[in-house]
Amino acid sequence: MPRDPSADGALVARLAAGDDAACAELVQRYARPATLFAAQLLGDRDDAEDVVQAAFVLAVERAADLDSTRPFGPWLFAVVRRLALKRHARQARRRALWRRWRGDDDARTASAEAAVEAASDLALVRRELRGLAAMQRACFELVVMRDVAVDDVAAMYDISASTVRQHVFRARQALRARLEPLIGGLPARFTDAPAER
Amino acid sequence: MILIRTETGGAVTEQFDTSMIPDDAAYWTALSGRIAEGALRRRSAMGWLASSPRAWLVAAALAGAAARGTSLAWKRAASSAAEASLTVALIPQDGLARALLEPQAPPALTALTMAPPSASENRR
Repeated sequence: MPRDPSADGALVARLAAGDDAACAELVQRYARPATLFAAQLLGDRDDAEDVVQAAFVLAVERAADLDSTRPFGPWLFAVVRRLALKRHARQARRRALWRRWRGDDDARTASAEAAVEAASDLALVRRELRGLAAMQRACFELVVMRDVAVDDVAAMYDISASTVRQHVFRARQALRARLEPLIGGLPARFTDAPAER
Repeated sequence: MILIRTETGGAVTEQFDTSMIPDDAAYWTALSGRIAEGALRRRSAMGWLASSPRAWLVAAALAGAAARGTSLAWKRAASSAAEASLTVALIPQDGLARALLEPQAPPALTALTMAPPSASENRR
């Protein structure tokens, strides 16, 4: 659903004035894209939810300092990105220590996951997605598979909307070529582009 | 791999798919409710602290009590340490004085006169 940036500004102004309903409405608007973005960066549902929670706590605390003439999304996604990167770095250090102590069993886990996932077209698309360039994969997943607005994805990764569209286009072409010999092409739900706003 | 520059100049080189996030309305409604509730709870706690005179009184009383507790504990520790070092310094080193300080019973006269001199007395 397309969002009106001026409505964002009004909500931020109400939030700064202490209106609880404005907070709930902003969360309602942005929790989904923000959580999906955090999940792409962190790879864990609980971590993604925690980061988005922390980002909204910050938004509420700093509501008075936010510029209500500018859209709220890019500010929120930048905060989510910063918090997610911090958490990611901390966890990477922890994982490295754990691996050194226990020995690496990621390969076994990955092969078991792959066997379970290979059950459907969606799983097949996901598996083939992993072979794409990272930005193509990220943009395709959010825009096509998750129906997140192109502008939001652009704000998340700090690139232009046309670049996002280009990544999606290329991802679609690459996937079509990869899936053609397997299932005769990309499943119908991923072939059209009406969702790319 | 996605490369996002971090504030410290490093970069994230991992990127995950989002299949662990369910995409149904019930999940998003519940999550939004939790997030909004958490954010507002935090604001109400901070707001109460910042705006209420009673909050300032409570905070000042707590801080005062904590400071007083800390200073009492420090004084007690300091005085007991001084007392202990004084006791050690005042303990008599010779056998006669030790016998005189024996709390249960006075020393036998023969023990005082016939007792062999202690090592410290010999040194003197």
